[in-house]
Amino acid sequence: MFDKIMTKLANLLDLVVTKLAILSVIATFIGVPLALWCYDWVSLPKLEPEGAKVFTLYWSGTQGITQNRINGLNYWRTEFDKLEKGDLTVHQGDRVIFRLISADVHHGFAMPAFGIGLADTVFIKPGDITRVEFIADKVSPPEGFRFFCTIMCGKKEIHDKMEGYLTVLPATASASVNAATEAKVEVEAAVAVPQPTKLEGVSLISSDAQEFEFDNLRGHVWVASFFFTSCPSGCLKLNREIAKLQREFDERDVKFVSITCDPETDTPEILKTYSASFQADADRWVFLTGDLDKILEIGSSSFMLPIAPKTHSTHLVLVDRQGMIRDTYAALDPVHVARLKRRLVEVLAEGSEATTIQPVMPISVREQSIASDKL
Amino acid sequence: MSDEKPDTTPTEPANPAKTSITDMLAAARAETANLGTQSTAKKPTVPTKAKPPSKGPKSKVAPPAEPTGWRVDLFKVVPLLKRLCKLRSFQFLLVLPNVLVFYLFFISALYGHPVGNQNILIMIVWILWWFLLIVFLVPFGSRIWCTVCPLPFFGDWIQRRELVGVRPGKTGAFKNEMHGGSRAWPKKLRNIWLQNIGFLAMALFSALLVTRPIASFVAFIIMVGAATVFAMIWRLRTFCNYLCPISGFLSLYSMAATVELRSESKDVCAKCKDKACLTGSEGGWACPWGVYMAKLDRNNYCGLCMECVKSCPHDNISLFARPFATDIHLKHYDEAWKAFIMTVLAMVYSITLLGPYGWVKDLANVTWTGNVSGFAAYSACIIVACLVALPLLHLAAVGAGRLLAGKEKVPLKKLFIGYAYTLVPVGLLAWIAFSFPLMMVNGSYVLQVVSDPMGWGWNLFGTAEFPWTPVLPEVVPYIQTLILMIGLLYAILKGYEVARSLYQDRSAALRSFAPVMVYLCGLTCVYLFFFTA
Repeated sequence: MFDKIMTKLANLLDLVVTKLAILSVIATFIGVPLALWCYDWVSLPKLEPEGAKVFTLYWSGTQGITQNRINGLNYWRTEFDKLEKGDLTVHQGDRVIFRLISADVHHGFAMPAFGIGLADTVFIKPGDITRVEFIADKVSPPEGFRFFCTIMCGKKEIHDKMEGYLTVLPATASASVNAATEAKVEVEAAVAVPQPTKLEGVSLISSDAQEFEFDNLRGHVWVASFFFTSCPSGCLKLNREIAKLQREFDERDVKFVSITCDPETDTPEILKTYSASFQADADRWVFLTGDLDKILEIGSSSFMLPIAPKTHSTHLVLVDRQGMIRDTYAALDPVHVARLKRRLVEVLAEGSEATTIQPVMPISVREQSIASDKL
Repeated sequence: MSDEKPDTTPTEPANPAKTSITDMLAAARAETANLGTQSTAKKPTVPTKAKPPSKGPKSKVAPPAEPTGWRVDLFKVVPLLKRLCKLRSFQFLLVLPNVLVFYLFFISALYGHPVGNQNILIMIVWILWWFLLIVFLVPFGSRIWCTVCPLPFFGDWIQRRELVGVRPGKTGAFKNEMHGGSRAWPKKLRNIWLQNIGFLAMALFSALLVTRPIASFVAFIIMVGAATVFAMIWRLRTFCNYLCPISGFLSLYSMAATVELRSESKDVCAKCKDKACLTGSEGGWACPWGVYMAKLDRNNYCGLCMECVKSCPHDNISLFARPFATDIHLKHYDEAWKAFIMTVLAMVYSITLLGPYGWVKDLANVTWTGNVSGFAAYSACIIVACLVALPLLHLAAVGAGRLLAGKEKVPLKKLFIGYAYTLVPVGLLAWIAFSFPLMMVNGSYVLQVVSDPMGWGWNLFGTAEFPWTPVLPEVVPYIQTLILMIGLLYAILKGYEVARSLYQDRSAALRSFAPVMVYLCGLTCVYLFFFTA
């Protein structure tokens, strides 16, 4: 009896599936793109507040900033429409929303006129939409308010041009032109390219559980890096490179500073053990831990590297005797390491007198996406 | 060097990848005709006691051993499973969701986020799917992926003009109505060399495939297109049998799987005049893989489509659970080289994708660096390691073993191919060892892309912002070490079984296997070095 019922059910199922098979295949091929389109173009924009001026901007380390949607298909195109002055225009009093999307690596956003991205780095992570929202409460100068990338995201020549302008027109036609002029004066001071913050009066905790003042490094040439002890691959290689540097510059006045980006796990005791595994000379190579927020701040503001909990750049940062960042080098790239060695020799030869060298932004290293590195 | 071997000897198990359907059918019928004059049951092949070595230059080599150990008939234990497999709609109901998902992946590859770790195609296919495939599906489900694979969906549809039903009729030797060219695949190409080359070629571009969605899209669309075109020209699953790179590696490692689809009684098969599993019937299509169930003794070329379960008039086909690594015989050079290629690539993938060697990543990532000469050198190293270096090392170990074995001479070719099987457990477990950190370190990205499949900033399930969270990365080397050791252990145990099937004398078998065992240990050490580097 049971068998008969089951057989009938099975036959019925076969019959229904047979009848609906072609229909279900057609439904699949039409339904999937339709559902995507509906959700993205119909539902999602409604999430933004009514009346807000929404601009979606794609940030690419090889292309700059564009309003073209960058996707898998067109990523290989050589040219997208660059963002021109006047492309983004709002009126005074408008609510402005920037939807910032990275097409490749981590970028940073700053718009000094509205105090955005100066105190804290606004990261534009691949895959996330970073929303920046503000009221355009002042009229811009004719060229607009400048915004730009704050993280060394790729080739210097492209990074340097990663900027755009938001034009804020007077709310009414009768608004005076003077407003624009005033705004220009007000903003001019703020639009300078952000420089790395000097590590003055900043301290962390060493592997000896002692407070370590960065001021103590003044007068020494040193190389900074970020790591975490539980990293299974990149950090080991990174620290092996530093260990080699320590040996090669044994007789020279070079110090190495390795800062964990996982201070919760990396206590001074763990750092002590970890440093011993690299034969770190405690006088020349310090491993630091401390408050996570402070470490993130040091990473982004003083070294201008994308640092997050258990996530970090694998670059080495060369700092001279005056505490100036001289360059960054990809630790996992032998060519860069060789370049670092040559530069170290040069910087060591400069002596302890203050030089007139201006701090330079990190060089044209290819800052691989942290996320991509994990693949 | 051709491995094509028309197989007409009834007592030698047929390899559908090598034999034409007509040959197999003729052989099967001859076997039925001879029934009564000779027994079809195989004799035990592993000698029960050692015999003195033959005085001749070459001793008679024992035929392949019958599988030993326990077997559980899953259709009897779980009758519902049998009912499901007998449903005509069984495969369609499994494949359709997969077609939908892959279609979504393709759209995402084209119009979704261009960065690999934010694109659902890359994350699901190369992280989640790969992990599930290598860690669970292959070891515990054999070629069950082939049951649900969406790539030949259109080809099957064109060939059968049915999505669910079966069309009785006559097409050549088949008792089904089939469409398309229905041509026979050239005999010279009835081997898995093309699959070997295909997988190796894909592996060279692994860094590109796992970081650029468009590259994976191109690879998959070529496979779908090829499967469809092949089905329009050649009969059955020609693409799956001879060309699909994934099929090649599934074929090799399904030998170790803990399930098998077999006939319950070979005698019933021998008496069967219809050979419906091979030719089709009103209940089911002819085996798309060209498998004749009476002779099926390895998982390699059975795609678990379950058509034979439906077509067999004697209800003689069942799914069995069995011990790990039960099929222990490689039979041809192409299969041996498949083992070499997969063994080397497990190491290459680990070094390139997970290792701390930035310069290797740069060499592999040619589209980013533009370093064509570096990529050429990287490719050349891999090709030489896969096709020349490891086979030479294997040959040296096998040759040394042959010398050590003494007077009992087994042909070098038989030893070379036979012992290549030892790389199956080593390689499979190495791939598993590679896959664990892949999932443990990068698995959290899967949660992100599930909520935001196109990388457009959606958050469907609230996990789009889930942070990158490596799971116990500090434990990874220990897990990998354990897995590699299990692989080595199985390789030694099964290698010795192979040796015993090749040599009549136990001592000669042991001496012959000793150098191979040493090289397997060395290989595992190399794996350990690179995996835990």
